Amino acid sequence: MSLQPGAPAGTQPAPPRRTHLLVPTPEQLAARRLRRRTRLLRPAYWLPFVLLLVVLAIGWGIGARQMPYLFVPLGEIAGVLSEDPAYFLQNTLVTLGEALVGLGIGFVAAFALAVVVSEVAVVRRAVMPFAVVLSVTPLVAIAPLLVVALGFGMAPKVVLTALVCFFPILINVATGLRAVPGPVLEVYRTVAASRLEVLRYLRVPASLPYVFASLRIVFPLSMIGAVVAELAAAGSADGLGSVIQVASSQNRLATVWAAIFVLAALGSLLFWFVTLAERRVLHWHQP
Amino acid sequence: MHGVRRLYEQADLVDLIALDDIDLTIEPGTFVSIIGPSGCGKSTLLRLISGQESADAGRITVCGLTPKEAAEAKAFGFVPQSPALLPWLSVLGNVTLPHKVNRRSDRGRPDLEALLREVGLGESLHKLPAELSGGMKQRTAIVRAFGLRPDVLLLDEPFGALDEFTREALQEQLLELWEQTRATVVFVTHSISEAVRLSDKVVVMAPRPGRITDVIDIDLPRPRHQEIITSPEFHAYELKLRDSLRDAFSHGEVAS
Repeated sequence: MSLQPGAPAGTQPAPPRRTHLLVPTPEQLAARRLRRRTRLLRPAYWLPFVLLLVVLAIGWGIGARQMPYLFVPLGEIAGVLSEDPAYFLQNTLVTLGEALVGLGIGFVAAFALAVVVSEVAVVRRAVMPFAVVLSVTPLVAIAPLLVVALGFGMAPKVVLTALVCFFPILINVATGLRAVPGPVLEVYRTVAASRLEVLRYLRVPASLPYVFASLRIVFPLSMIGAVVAELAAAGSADGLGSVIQVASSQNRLATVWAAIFVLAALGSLLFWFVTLAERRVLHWHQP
Repeated sequence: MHGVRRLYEQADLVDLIALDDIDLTIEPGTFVSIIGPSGCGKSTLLRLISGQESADAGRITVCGLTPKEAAEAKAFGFVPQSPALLPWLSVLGNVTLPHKVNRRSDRGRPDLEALLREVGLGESLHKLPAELSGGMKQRTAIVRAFGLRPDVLLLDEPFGALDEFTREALQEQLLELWEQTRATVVFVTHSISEAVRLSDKVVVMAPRPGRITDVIDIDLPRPRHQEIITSPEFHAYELKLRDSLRDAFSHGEVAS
């Protein structure tokens, strides 16, 4: 009954004295922990990046002198940012809001349609060819039309962002929902699991790696959607896109660059956030 | 099952007879192995029994029900060739989930933790499948099937991908679990010694078309432990089965 040969049936076998694990002493353990935590402080980790950063900054300085209509010295950009941080913060929040609301709407709609598409073959055959074509179409190009149709408020930005995010999510999730291996489906069909049960317990969890793959694509896309829509609605509203549009028309290059740097930082932050969430949710997943 | 036939349409639009004229009665509570060369329709036979596929001719009944009705009543436990565990659920979660689906027909949950402990997974209850060895995964899959308390257990070459030592250990555990429940077992295998070791009855199949060529009763005392493998009786059955398989194979060659 028990795995240990010779152990009398019904009793718990005594814990084995020898194992294949070598447990370090507390001092060793502390040293190892410290080593792991301070890994990023070692020059081998940060030096290459910092070196390239310095090179780029020097290159930027040269560029600013050679092409003053394109580049401005980094000091000026920093000056603009520190002069009125509230202005940039407020516009950042507007753009972020548009991007996230659009992304949220796009995500919910795309996920719902992905479920329908994966369950109903007729709908799949109708929808998926369009989805593939539209996901490779630069949908941001309809931004001017949306501004004409929906005005200068938040609506065209949210709609454009939702549209831009919709198709990559749809394609990824529709694929993910069908990624349950055949033998698994067979095991659960022999116990007559209903379609809803298969969806809930097998398909949706199996699609999560695909959901995160699509989020990695779509978080940056949402920023693009929001900024392009702001650019198209020139000078009318808040947001970093509008800041860029207005400042460049007035030849305030430092402000343009400051807004771009803020966008880069914001995009990185979102990407980092997705990665973090992915590590949390998909701890079981090994790509 | 009676006069069962199953066709597959091939790429060239010709029907392939995967199974033909299958007549087989399996007594409740017996352990039956199905053995035969690749392509003789062993797995197809399992899918017909469990209602995953329908026969093109003939009739199959499971405890007086159609295969679909039997599946609806949770009469089956299925162990596929790959363990087919869900990577996001722990060992315990994986063996519990089948009880959460089709709840109406559930036969009650035995002490799954105890069952897992019995097959040596006591320290792995909360581990994820990725942290397990191949043998441990397949043990989990076996407990998942046994935990359902099914009338019929269907195993499709469950030990095919395992090394010899693991294989023999798992055979032993499979027999121990089975002695407790005495469900009907239909066990598909490639291995002659595995068939002799485990079964009351071995069904020999031949390919093209898939059919039954021989049924051999294995009359060895139970419980059958490791030692039985070296006994002369065991060896005699192995030889007999080997002959029967050779016949089945040569039939197939002539037919093609």
